[in-house]
Amino acid sequence: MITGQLLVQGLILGLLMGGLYALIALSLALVFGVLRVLNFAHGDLLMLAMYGVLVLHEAVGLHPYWSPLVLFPVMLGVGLLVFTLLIRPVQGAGVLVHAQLTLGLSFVIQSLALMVFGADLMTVRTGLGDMRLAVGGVVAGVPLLVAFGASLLVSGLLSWTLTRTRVGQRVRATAQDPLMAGLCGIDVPRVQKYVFAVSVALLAVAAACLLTFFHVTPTVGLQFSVLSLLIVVLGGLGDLRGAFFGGLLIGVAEVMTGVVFNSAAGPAAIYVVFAAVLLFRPRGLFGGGVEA
Amino acid sequence: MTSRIGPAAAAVAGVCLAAIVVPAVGGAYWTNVLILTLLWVYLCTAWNIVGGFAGQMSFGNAAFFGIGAYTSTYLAAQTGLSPWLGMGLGGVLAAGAALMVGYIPFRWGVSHLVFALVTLAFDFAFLYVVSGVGALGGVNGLFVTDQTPPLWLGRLEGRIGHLVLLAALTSALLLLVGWLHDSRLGFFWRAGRENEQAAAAAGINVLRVKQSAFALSAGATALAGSFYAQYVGFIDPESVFGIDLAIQMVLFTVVGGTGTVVGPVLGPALLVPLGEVLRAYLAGRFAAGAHHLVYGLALIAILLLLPEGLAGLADRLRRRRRAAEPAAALQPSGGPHAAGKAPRETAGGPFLVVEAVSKRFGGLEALRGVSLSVAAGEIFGVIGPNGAGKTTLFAILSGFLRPTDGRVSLEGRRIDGQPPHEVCKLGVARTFQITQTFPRFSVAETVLTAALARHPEPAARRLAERVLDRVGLRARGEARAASLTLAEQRRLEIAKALATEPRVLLLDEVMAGLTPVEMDDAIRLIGGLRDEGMTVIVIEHVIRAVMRLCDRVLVLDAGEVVGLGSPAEVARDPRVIEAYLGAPPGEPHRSAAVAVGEGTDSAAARRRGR
Repeated sequence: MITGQLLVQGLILGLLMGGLYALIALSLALVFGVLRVLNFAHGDLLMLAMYGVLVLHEAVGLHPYWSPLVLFPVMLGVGLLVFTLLIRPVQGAGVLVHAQLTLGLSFVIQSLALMVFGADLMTVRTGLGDMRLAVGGVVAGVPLLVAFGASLLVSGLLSWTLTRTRVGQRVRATAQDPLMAGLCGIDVPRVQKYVFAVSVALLAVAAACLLTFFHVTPTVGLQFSVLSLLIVVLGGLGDLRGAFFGGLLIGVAEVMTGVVFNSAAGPAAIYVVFAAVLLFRPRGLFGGGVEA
Repeated sequence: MTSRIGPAAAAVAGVCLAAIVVPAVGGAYWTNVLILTLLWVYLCTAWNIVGGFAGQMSFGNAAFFGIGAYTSTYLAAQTGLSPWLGMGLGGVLAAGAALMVGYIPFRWGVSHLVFALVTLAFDFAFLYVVSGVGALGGVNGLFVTDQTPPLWLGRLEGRIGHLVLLAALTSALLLLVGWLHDSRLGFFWRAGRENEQAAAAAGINVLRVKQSAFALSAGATALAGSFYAQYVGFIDPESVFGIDLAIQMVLFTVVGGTGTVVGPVLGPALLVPLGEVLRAYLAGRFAAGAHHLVYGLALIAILLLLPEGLAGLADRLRRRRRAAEPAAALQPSGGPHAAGKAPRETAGGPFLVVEAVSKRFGGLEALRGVSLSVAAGEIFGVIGPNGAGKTTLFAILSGFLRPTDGRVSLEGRRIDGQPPHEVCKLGVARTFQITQTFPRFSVAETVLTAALARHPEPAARRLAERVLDRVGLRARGEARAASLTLAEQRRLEIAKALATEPRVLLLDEVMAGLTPVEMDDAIRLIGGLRDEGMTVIVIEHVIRAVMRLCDRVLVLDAGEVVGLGSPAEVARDPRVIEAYLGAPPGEPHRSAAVAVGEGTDSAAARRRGR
């Protein structure tokens, strides 16, 4: 029943899906690396951006792929607001307080979305969703390929910024030792503020890619929060390369368990794998993360 | 340590009063709301055992709730087992599951965040596995076959019967928690939460303490799961394993005040009825979201404005009132020098023996073939420049690190590789270079924690008082550890170690940063302990103290022993001088003792300035 071709198909789909997960998780990892804050509302902010894509499409007919032009600055503003009002006051209060506070934020965003948009599944019909590319019997949807491409592009850009530019230098210095960075004349609070805002803004790109083939509901956020938390921890907290490969791994694990088990119990495998990896490699896949 | 039976009793009185008044006045709707509220009070109280007292944020309690619900429901349907027995069995299963889930994280001392995520994954795994198992109804769930078996308080009519049962369960749990909070176990829970290392050094088996909290919390939560199934009559994976359940347990408790007895009562008592009222009075889609909105906003507001929760507010008011009253007179008790045991005869033979101990951290060799032997009743000094391996040696002697090679024995009994609390029980106690306190404990409570590791409460209290007298901290007993001066903190470190009734005391730089007068006091204290029969090993940078105190001194440099002998001999040893100062060519050596003294005093001064 499970043919080799099916497995290859699953592997490819998993990698493509994983690429998108990696994009979402990357910004979470960046925030943790620089601020030591783990944001449990990450997926809910993504959900917010997805509704943004939806509204822009319904109201002014903007194609999802153009929506980041509008949504990136909007989400940047949301990020600045969240950081200033919520994150800044509890910085240094310990990871559990951050977790609890952002869980509260998650509840707020989720219920506001429920009030405004209702609980129905919504998506954007672009015609893209039905387009497929077939190579040697392996089929992949165009939106997923676009998403994968966007993920590679953004990851590459992020990596280039961090390693090749002066801004990136400051960000990395802050991530390594905020006190030292401050002593070297880096405006640490400012770096942290903008890193948080940019990481939220990057979700606009992920949302645009997602909504062409996926749906949005108010509860979809939690799903993505948990998924990206798993990826970030799997990759090693604060380790961007780990987060990228963690994303691919989770994507493949998710699709493959669906292919192999073909039952509602399938997704359980992800969590079992996650718990196992975490217990035996508490510093992540490459051992490059910090012990939270 | 204030008594919490008071708050627990007050909470129970509140629960009982509500259970009587609400059905009489409010009718079916409000009775339902009350049952829901009490269910959350119960769940939060259970969660608070692990999440509050033991300080481990568990998302796994939703899984335990589901285990309870499914165990009783499934067994009743398949085998006709009474839900009462199913309830008990569910509790046992959940406690067992908690022991398994907690073992590796607690054993390895992983961070709180990793524990939280592992339990979250555990929860999700259950959600999906149960959804996929046809025998358990899959995603369609299970109906409860017989909702009113005779033992299930069948004689009381439906809703009221359930209310009475739930009120009884909640009251019992509250009383249990109130009692445990002040028991030895409760004390260990909180000590482990406040500072794991210090708790282990005080002789507490941190793994077992955390496991007990997690298992108890899990078992109690599972009972509520069985109750919920009986009350609602239908369960499905989403309603009993749902992640929202786990999040709300955290949320309500944090709003009420984690780690307090009344917090988990106040949080749900305020938020659940509020959410229900909103849900009932708002129409349409607003109704669906409103209660979560309120919960989320309440959590954010509490964390930003009142991090200790609603219970913290009450506490703060009470403390303000108490501060206004004059301090109660301290009662003198015990002799001034009654600490410890009767002086032991100093046999002079080897007491603590270290043989060829090495420790590698990856490529770094922190200790290389270190051997030494300390006689009973000796004050043995360990000196050496920064990074010489002194603290690593202490960590090995006290069980915090396992040596890569070699062995350590106390009176011929091997102690290396044993966990810290075992080593502590065998009679080796240590202090930490950086004072390790339990931030929210008073000085007296901190010392009591260490004393409780060996003695039941009354004896432990007496011991703690004697030790406080001995180190001269009696008058500061009510102060919070964080408010002490540096010299007082060092005394507290010593008191903590003494309260475990050690035979060997390991002191890690207790002089650093002290003023000359404070240092003289410390030297007198340590000398006095030796006179009472204690064997003392000190790591010290302050050479003046080493010279005055120590019978023999061991010099470490880069993980190796470079000198051993009386303080005077060591101070003259050229290898030692080289280790400290390097050997500049052409510059004649000054008087060795002066050179060593100056070098290390300035090191201490640098540290002080930092």
